[in-house]
Amino acid sequence: MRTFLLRRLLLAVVVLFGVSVFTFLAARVVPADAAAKWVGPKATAAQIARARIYLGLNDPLPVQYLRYLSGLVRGDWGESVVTHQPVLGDIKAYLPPSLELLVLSSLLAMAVGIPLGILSARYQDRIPDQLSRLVAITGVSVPSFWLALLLQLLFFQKLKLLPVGGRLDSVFRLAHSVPVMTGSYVLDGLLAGDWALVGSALKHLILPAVTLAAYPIGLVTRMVRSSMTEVLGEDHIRAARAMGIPNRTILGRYALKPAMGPTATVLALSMAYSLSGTFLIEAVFAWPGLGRYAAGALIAADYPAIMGVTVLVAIAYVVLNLIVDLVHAWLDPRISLR
Amino acid sequence: MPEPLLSIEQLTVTFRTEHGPVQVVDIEQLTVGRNEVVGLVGESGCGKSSVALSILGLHPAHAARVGGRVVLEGRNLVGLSERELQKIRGSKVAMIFQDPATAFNPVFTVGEQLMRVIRTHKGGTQRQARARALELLELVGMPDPAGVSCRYPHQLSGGQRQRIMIAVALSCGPDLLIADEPTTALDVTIEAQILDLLKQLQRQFGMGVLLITHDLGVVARTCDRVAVMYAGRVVEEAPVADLFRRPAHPYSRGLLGSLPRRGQELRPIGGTVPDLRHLPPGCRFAPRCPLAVPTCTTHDPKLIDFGSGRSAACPVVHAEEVGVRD
Repeated sequence: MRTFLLRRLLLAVVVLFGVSVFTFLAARVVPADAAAKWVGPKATAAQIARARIYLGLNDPLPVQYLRYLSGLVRGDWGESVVTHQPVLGDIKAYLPPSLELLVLSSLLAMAVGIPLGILSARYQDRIPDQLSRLVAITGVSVPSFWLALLLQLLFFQKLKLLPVGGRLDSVFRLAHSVPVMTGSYVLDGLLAGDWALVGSALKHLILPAVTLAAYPIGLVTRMVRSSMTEVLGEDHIRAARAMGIPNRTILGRYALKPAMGPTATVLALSMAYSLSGTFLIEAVFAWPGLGRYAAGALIAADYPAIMGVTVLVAIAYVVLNLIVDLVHAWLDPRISLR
Repeated sequence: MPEPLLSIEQLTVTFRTEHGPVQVVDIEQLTVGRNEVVGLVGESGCGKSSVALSILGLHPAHAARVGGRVVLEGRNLVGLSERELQKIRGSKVAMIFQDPATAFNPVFTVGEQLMRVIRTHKGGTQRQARARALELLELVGMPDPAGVSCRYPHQLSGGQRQRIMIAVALSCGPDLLIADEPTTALDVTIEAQILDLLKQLQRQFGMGVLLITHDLGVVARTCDRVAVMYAGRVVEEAPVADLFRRPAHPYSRGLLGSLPRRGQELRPIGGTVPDLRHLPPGCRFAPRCPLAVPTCTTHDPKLIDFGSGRSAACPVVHAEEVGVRD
């Protein structure tokens, strides 16, 4: 186990090193002039030239790369060429709302997708399976911004149950001092014992989380169904039935546990993708998350910010893959961690 | 004659296939008494395992239709609800499978799986189930039961797994044990140990055992009585010693003739097993039978009772030939 973690950590370093090289090179290849961005649209040629020197853009590429790399390691991820704010600081501000959304939607995906998948496997090719297939395929194929608008229309406009967007009610924010600790209002509220804050934050989270969960719900449902169908055809399931093990135990334990490995894999991949790929959902719900930050950076050709987000997403992929491997080993004792 | 523990009557199993229904089992009569080991022998694909599965209603309902009666202690099991069958499976009738490597769930320890069966049928606390599980592991000759119970199936050898499978099967004191090729996947030396263990436990518990095998050596070693199956039908039934001494049905004679014996040439049975989708009319063995007469291909033979527990489905064979005197 220790050697496994050590090996994986080493591997992660190699992967992140590769990512840093590629993001750095990509940023140099794009035709946007960083120095011109830095000084703004009305700058003179002399000002741009000074900015080039200041930003070190005249140095040889390897020198620039090493400077970038040592900055990455030291926690200096560069300054935004547009806002002149440190990129890491921006990311720290935008990450908590994104994570909040991501965690809740992943929980939702499991809470809905796993039972639906089990139902599908249990009643293969019968009505419950067809219905769950309908839900799953709708989930993966509906455009998220459209689903978001639909949910807003229903729950905000018609039913007046949930807020239309944002992270807190504006009135609430004015009347209430919001403690700042983790940056996740739900978590901060829980830590401070501030239930009004938790309630308001959760209410605002529901619609975006449901929208974001639609895709992984479909993914998890189909994955649980297909893995379980495979497991249910194995000899040990027939043996368990021959021992008189009740159907619900067979479905909920004997067939589910071996089927969870592949499900964890697809869920983790979809989570890593969703970390920055949720611009549309964040835009519709006025959610200040990483997706909007990344999209804004792209539109402004703010390359230090783009590089920062890219590195962060790479880290997320590495970490989630490591977690998935640990989950696999925990689920299946035949997998040895070496 | 006392009422048998298990009585199979007019049992048919029909699979639904792309080419239409195919009947794989058609058995007139087969019984297993209390404290009796009955062997069911035949070649691969003759329907032996299907018989085993149909006793416990384990054929998937959408793939197979089971007809006839399977009577256990006066109660017909065919057509019972899944719920009622669940109560019988594992408690009154237990089953052990051919390949212990695939019969255990790979992601739970053998102890967990054993205890779950115990708690399913006997209830009780986790603690009681654990104590019972350790007892059973000891009973089937596992050294260090506590250590073994924490192992996963892949951490045990084939022989160990089959011993534990037997422990699982015996955990709730079944009246009938169905053993479907219990030693086929094992080494020859382990095979002998497992068969001896089965025999010893059968006597100790007074169980009826239906032992399904293609191996006449296993039958000779373990069984009291034997039924020979061919192409889905029982063609002969006899006490084990009698079958080996004087087989009645031409197919049984062929089977015994194809056993290797010192100083004798092997005599394989000519021809091949018929395709169950296109069965020959009349006797299913007739196309390969050295004794066949013209009526064999037109008349379906029924089992003829020769007395002394012997019967065969062949009109050509007479009682005197098999050494039975009334």
